[in-house]
Parts: sequence; structure tokens; C-alpha cells
Amino acid sequence: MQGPTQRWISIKVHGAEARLRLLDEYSPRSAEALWQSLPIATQLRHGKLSGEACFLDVDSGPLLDLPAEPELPVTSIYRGYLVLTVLPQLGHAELLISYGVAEYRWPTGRRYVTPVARADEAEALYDVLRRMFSEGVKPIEIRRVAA
Amino acid sequence: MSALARLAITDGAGRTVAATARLLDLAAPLAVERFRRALPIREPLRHVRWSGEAGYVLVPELVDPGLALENRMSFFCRGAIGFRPEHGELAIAYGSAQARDWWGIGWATRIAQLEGDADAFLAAVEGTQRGGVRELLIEAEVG
Repeated sequence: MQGPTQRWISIKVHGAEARLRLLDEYSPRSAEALWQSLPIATQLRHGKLSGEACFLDVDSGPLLDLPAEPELPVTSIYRGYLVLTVLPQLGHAELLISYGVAEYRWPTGRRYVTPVARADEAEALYDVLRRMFSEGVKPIEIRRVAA
Repeated sequence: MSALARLAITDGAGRTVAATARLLDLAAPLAVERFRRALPIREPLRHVRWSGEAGYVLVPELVDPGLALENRMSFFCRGAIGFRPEHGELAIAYGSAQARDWWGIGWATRIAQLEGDADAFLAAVEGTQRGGVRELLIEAEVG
């Protein structure tokens, strides 16, 4: 999508920063809730069921007001995509970002998430996310990028 | 009586925790024999990315895509050690885990089971998710 309505966010992990475009055209309610939740500063962990993806929990704010049903249900998480799932039963929302081959899974099998943002060129960020597999948790900052 | 193996995890600060596993040689004779010949094993232990609550090592000496699975399992119980010969992978479950890959659900040979109080050891396996890689040493238990 091109045009003045594009909104961008920044993700910074261990010194590597990338810009992601909010997917307002696919999941407007979720993208807006994420936008209203920013900035977020927390810890990022490598996933243990979903493959080449890292995740963070958000415990409060507009993301938790979204319905648990995904706005645009997908299970594959393509590289560079930031996806969202709202888990009222656990009292938090999860954001996951993929650096490779990933699919959202729980112990019971595949689950669905909503894509909310996408990076195009983010090799430095992918490299840090890949290293988390060996290096453990790292701090993450997500913030709005001024138009 | 089946043989035992000693497993020890050492973190970056030099702290070591150990546990004992009983080898299931009656149920998985070929895999256990291959495993015993590979000892001692010293490899980096990482948290799995697809399989849930488990850590794993890749052992080059154990890679054998032609080795048939024995004592098959897909779901791991806590303390179970699974062997996947196609990868030379040994996985240790600290909770609910399953042999999985990007393409779906797989199988492993249940080669050993931890015995006794293994809580501290399994907590160290779990700790690889937040703390990153640690060293795992597996040796034949003597005595």
C-alpha cells in the first residue's frame, strides 16, 4: 500500500532497529490497538513451539480490549511479520515476530494470529532474533515512527 | 539391570547441576548401543524451537538417517530423553513436549529416562529459553 495513510513503527532489539509498516488495510482494529499501545518496552523471548520467531507479552492496554477471535486469522508467520494474539484467559496479548520459518502453534496444535505489521529490509534485526536462540532473552522497544 | 548415564549442565558462571538417566536398552537396543559408543558427549544445549518444553543437543556421531526408530514416542513426558537419528538429536523434556519440526509432527526413540530427584537439572534445561545455550556433558555412570 502506498500513500499518506501509511503508519510505521520501530522495533529495536539489542541495538538492531527496523521499521515496520502497520497493516491497516488487513487488520485495522488490531493495528490501531497496537498503535495506541505504543511505546512498549519489555523483554523479548525466543518461542518454543512456533519455530523461528520471538515473542513478547503485553499485560495491559488497548490490545487487551480486542476480541480473542483474530481479526485476520493466519497461522504462518512470514519473515518480517509482526503478529498478534489476544489471550483473555491468560490476561495478556502476545506479539510475535518471525525471522524465518514460523507457524503459530501451541502444545495442542496450530493456532491463529492476526498480522499487524511488516518489515521489508531488516537483516540486522533478523540476525539478533536468530542469535536469541543461543543467547536468551533481550530487551525490546517498540515505538511509533513520526510521519 | 540397565546401564546408567550421568548428565551434567554447566552454565556460563561455571555452576553445574547433574542428573542420572537409566538407559532403556531392552526397549531400544540399537539406539542405546549407538549412544553408549558415542559417550562421553559434550555439546551445547539449546532450547527447542518447535517441540515445546525441552532442550536438545546435536551429536554428529549419532547422525544416521538409516537407523530405524525403536521404542517410538511422539509426546515426551518430563524427564524423557528422545533420540532422533536423522538429526543426531538428543532431546530432554522438562515438561510437555513433542517431536516436531517445521513440517509437522515427528517421532523419536525413547532412549532413556531420568531417575531420582532431577528437578534442579530440569530447571537448568528450562533455563536455556531465557538464559541461552549451556554446556551438556553426558558420561557413562560408573559404580
